[in-house]
Amino acid sequence: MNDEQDREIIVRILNGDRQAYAILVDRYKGPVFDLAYRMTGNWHEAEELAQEAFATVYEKLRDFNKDKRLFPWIYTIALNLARNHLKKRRREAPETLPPIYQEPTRERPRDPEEDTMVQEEVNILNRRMLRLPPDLREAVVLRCFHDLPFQEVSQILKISPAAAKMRVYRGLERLREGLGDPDDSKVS
Amino acid sequence: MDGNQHIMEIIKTAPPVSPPPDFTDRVMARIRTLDPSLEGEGVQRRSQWSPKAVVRSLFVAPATASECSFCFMMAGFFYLILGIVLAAGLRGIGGHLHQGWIMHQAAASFAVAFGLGALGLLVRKKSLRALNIVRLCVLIYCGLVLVIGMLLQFQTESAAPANYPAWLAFLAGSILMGAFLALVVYRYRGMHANTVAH
Repeated sequence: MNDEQDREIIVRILNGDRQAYAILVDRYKGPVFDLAYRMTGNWHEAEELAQEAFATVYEKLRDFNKDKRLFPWIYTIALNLARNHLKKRRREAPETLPPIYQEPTRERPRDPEEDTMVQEEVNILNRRMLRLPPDLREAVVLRCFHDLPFQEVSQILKISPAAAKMRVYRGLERLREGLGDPDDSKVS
Repeated sequence: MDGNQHIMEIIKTAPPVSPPPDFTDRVMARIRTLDPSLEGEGVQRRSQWSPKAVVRSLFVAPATASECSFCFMMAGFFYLILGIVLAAGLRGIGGHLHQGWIMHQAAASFAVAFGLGALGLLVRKKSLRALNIVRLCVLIYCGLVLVIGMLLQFQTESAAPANYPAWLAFLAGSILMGAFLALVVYRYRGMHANTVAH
């Protein structure tokens, strides 16, 4: 992800080459979609959120500060949309439990020889992820799933690096506690 | 964070989730329907204001949620003004018209103004369900315009000499507005379907 290339593409888009935006979408669609998916746990909602995020980025591109990096900015927009979406979902169905993590239908086929024990642990982890409060969940996704440095996590979440570390730590603690939860193995 | 090492190992084994193969195309299709505010310089944008472009943007091109909402708000504003004019004007008319539907027209206009404003806000929710409600309300509006137009005509015929040109102008104007709002919803619905439906 070359920042200089990003800036060149942004200049092209602002000069009227709208098609150049496809390059940016191609470059960042993976992490943005993954982020949306891990925040919502639903393939279709993630697709809609990711599309919305890229449409919003396009609309606000003129306001983007070109001295900054594009990637954290896109992440911030996607996260804000995901937060609003989760709030709305809670308002519309306040009595329901967090949704079950749905396995993506178009994911690559699993290796038949894959360790079933590990796979089961991944499934439980995914379900536990959706039970985390959104603020902890987003910190864990950015730091642990997307491997971003704490400095960048704090920049995206608009909190101090120490607070970002604390959120990640608390999130992982909760996940660890939950791995032994017998309720998780009942839900499939 | 040593105690969480096991969790980190599980996270590393979790496969990343990839978007569908046509994701970029779908985003670009959505972008094309947005207002082209990022494109070109002032001269380029002014050159788009040909009569053909105006007709296309009003009746053919997909509408954004903001445009759709704006049309409803403006229609509501029109009825608000109409309601004020009727409320002030009908008081001065002679006693032979002080009956039935005619005297309720100001209140009806205010109600329609409020309703259209509410629909304008509903469109901004950008959900298919909200759009279906808006579409249904527009159909109800068109139906009510016809019914009220007929009732008005019968009332005035029984109370005063019929004024067909004025009646036709009122009816045609209201129906055209309903048709335009239906078209706006259709244009936005098309855009919504293009970008959200899978």
